[in-house]
Amino acid sequence: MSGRGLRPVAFLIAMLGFGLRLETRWRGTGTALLAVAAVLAVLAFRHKTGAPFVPDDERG
Amino acid sequence: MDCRPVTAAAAALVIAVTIVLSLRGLARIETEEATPDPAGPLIGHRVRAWYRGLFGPLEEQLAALGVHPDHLTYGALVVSVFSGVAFARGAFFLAGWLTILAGTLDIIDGGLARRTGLASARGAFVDSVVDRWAESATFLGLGIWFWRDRSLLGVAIAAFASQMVSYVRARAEGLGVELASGRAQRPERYVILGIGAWLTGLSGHLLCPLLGYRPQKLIVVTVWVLAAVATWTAVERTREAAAALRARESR
Repeated sequence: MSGRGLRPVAFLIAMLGFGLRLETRWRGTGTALLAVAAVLAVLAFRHKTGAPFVPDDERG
Repeated sequence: MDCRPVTAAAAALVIAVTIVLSLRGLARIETEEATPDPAGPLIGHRVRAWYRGLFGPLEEQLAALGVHPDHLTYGALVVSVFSGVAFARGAFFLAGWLTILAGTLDIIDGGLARRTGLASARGAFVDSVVDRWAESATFLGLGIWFWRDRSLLGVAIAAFASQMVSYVRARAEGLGVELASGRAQRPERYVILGIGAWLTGLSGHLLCPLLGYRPQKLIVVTVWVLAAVATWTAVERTREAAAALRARESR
């Protein structure tokens, strides 16, 4: 998957991690998900597209 | 009561960075949208195009893996059930996030169906029916949370009106009238409920050390806003369908 494709996935996983840490007893799982999200975010932002969150077919 | 302001602050920071990046992306999208339609959806064409585009690479990946759109449709139902459970337990941050995830899966399944050439009348029918179940599961959880509260009435109105928005359109289409209008369609309702719940959870944890409790008024406001806009949309669609049928019959 491209870097741009990983960004929303990283965000969704990060929010699940925060949610588990904030509101459940599964804090360890939440922390693990935050770590996964951080790795995905780093991988995503290593691809320099110059246009975060802009899909190819929608670029102006 | 658990207060976790540090985790909430970290989440708020990530959300803020994402919003900034999203606005940058959004600003670069060109659409052919003319003047805004006053009866059109609250979420404009540009935002819809941007959000759909965000998940384009993921759709490609899912198509390559041979994932069937129905899997995502049923996945959205499962996520909505979890969302209902989270609402019932008062875990609003999680419930909001799950509501938005369910909405996202609902968008991706259609995109995947079109991308893989699997779009069909059967798929559209299953998607619509499963959507109603999914929405009901979420409202059921919200109703359990507000069981002994006056806001249960707001939940009931929001749930009923949301079903009516879809029913009016389906009935009108059955009579040959196409209805594209409606301020609070399914994505708008996902966004209102999801973001409202999300902010309730986030603000609750951030303000908890100052107040000594987690304020939850925002979810009450969200429920009543949702009830109002869904009712408005259902009435608006009913009037439009009735007018179209009257015009057809008078010809």
